[in-house]
Amino acid sequence: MAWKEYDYTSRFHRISKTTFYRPLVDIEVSAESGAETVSALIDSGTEVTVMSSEIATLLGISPKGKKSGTVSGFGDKQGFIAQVGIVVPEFPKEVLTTNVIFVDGISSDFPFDILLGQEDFFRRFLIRFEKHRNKFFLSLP
Amino acid sequence: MKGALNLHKIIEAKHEKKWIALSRDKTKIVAFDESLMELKQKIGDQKVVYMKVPSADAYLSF
Repeated sequence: MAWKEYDYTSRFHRISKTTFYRPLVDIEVSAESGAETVSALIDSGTEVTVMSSEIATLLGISPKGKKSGTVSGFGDKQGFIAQVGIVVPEFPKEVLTTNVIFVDGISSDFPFDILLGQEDFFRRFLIRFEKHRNKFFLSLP
Repeated sequence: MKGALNLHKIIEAKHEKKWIALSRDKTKIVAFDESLMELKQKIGDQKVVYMKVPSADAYLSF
């Protein structure tokens, strides 16, 4: 089994003057109208993959005619469900075609771009976190 | 920290709560904007990685 190694990504917290590190991975998200590379958080606490609705707009995905979806965390967020393709560049043959929830209104109060969740990403990839040295690893079962 | 991707060294206060377009090697911010679509128009066909920058005053918990 071959593991691909990735670095945790830093962000500075101004109040506590602490640098936090997050397991972010670049993914290519595609729809019929195009594909873009976006940084995504690998989040074992998220059940399904969630994306900002701005990414849907960027890919030309319209909410019209799509099923609605609700994401609950600190409060509820409404969105819509649509299918996209997800590829991790280091695993180009593994095209993860999955339904994601595109969530509206998260620009300032819920600042994420993509949360990769259990139902698809964690099913497809083996994931190993080594937070103590700020490395994580992906492989295929 | 050694072994990590230290993006906090290139992200400034002006980038907070905005979308940034990072160079593929993650060494510089090519452009940024409040709107991802507006950012895409600035970037054109350049190969970049898009990322939303959280507020540096907030703890993140999803």
